[in-house]
Amino acid sequence: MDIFLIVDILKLAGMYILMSLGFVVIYKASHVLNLAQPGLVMLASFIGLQVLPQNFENPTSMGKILITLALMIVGGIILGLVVYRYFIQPLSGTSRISIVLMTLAALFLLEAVVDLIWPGDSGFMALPGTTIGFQINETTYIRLFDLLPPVVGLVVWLALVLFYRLSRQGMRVQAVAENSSLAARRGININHIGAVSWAIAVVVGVIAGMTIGTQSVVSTLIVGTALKGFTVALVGGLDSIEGIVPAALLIAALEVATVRWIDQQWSEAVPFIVLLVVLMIKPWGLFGRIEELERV
Amino acid sequence: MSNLKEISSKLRAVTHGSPYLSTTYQQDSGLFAPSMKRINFIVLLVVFIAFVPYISSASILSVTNFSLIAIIGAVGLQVVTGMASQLSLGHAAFMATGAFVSTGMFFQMNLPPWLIIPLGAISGMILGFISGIPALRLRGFYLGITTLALQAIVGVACLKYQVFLQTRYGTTTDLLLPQIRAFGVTIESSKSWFFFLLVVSGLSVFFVKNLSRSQFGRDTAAMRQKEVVAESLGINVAMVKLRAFAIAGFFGGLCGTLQTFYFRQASIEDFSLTVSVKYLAMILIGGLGVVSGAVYGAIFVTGATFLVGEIISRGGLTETLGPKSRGIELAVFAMMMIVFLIFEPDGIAGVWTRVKGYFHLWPYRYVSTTRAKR
Repeated sequence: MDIFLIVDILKLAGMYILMSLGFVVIYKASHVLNLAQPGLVMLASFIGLQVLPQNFENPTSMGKILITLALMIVGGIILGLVVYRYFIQPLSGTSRISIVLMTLAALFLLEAVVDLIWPGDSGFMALPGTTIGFQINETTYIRLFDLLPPVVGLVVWLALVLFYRLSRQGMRVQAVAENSSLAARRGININHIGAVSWAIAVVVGVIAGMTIGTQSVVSTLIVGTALKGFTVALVGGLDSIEGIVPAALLIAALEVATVRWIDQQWSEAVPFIVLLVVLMIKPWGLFGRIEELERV
Repeated sequence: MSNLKEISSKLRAVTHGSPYLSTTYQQDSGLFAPSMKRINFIVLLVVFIAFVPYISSASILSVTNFSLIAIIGAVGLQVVTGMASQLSLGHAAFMATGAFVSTGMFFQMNLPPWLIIPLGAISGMILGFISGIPALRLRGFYLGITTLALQAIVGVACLKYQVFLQTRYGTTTDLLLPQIRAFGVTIESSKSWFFFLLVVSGLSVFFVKNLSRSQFGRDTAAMRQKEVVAESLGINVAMVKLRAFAIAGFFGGLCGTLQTFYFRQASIEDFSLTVSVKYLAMILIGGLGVVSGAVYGAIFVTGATFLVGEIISRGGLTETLGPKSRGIELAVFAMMMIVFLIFEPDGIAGVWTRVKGYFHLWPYRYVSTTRAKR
């Protein structure tokens, strides 16, 4: 068994976990598809590209990177609140399809913003210590850097799982998802929950954007990559955070295998083919709830 | 004798009747209310449109032709997203299918263009039918996402096919499609294209408008209100969705085929996800679920895109803004979508109804536009 294959799969799965979390967080709160998420990921990675050096010989210290990340997360929280207040909240009470169309419009607005500020830009974000790793035998050397996405992905994922399972706010989100009007009648502020969810989604998008930017080229093509995160969310079950990890592993494994043994271009379509197959067999996703689909 | 009486009474209904007063069931289910005013308006409109190619410049004529092609696609999307209320993110996939099937049919099977165009539309319809099959098991947005999957898969397949065609038959100039020749007429100038497209898109709009009063149209209207209730009333919801997707696929394929023949070339970049969203923006801006809304929206979005380019080039901003034109175009249509969503959810069709109602009912104030909205 080729160890690099496993590393590639883990790397891709980590990125998919990060990219799909934003979709699930919003769906859990409002039963709306958040199509703006790829745009948020892209915006974050371009901002990261602007701030962090692109020179591999002379990368900045870890401290500066962490401060940048912290500032961007704060910015992400504010952006999430703004998006909810000015784009999503005005549509409350209208049909869900118009809210989805709104997130779609937001995606294209974000794409336009990126296109206007950084026309045709692309590049890497350089991290220090990219060559640190461990020797397995004479020929294989695993870089810790390659394991960054799965580690970050798992940490963020675990944090969100614990948030929904244990915290009061997380419980409220679940209550709103279950039945928003009943939850409102029990004294839960729905707008507050929506705003919190959007803030979480944007922060997850920031983390995803930064992580992807250190691993692969940042360009407008990130939107397409992040849309594949959508398929992960669906395969796992749109309302199931727990299902993301196995779904990400499944899709990443199939995609890496397709790149390796079949064809580079077809690998782009693999997540979508997996999605169609899974939805045919289990329409509610591998770990979603059945009643999710049947509920009136 | 009684026949004559019938005809004269019908004529009288047209010339003197009110569009708001129906006295027979036949009138009630008619496509257009019998009204002399309306007939006059339509005749005037047709006469005006027929003169467009003679009074407009070449660039305006080409924008008009683009709009006419867009109307066909938008009307198709209106059936599935507007009428049946199923989010479709893969409309460009139907267009791509039509485009590449017709290209393939010409280069590999050497069929004549007049046969290729309907076959391209039918290929789109078949794909629409296939993409609707998950509807048998899926509900709500899950179905919408399968259309996104369709967009991705068809995109890759068409890219592969394009590369195959290019390696086999040569690049750009060799892959030009022929002009359409049928019944001794060649469609080559933009003027002749205008009349051809006018007929095709007019027929498409008429077909979909007529559809909205058929059994299928009433089923979709019930489904739009509440799927479960519609099902309990005996409507086979999955079947309705399947048919909606097939019809959308047909018009998508027709739109893609015509676009390919208009440009005389198919390129996969013309059928990206952005295009799908552009068509969604059209029906959203025009008015979701209203057939005439698709027409307004298609004209509005195509015209706005053209206007932005025109302002940039006329205002001498080409040096500063030229490289950013794609971003500006995206920003303009994203902003249009957002503005319409927040301030005018009924779209241009809603504005039109309200303005018309305001003048009609003046000095009374209240005009209802909530008819068949969501």
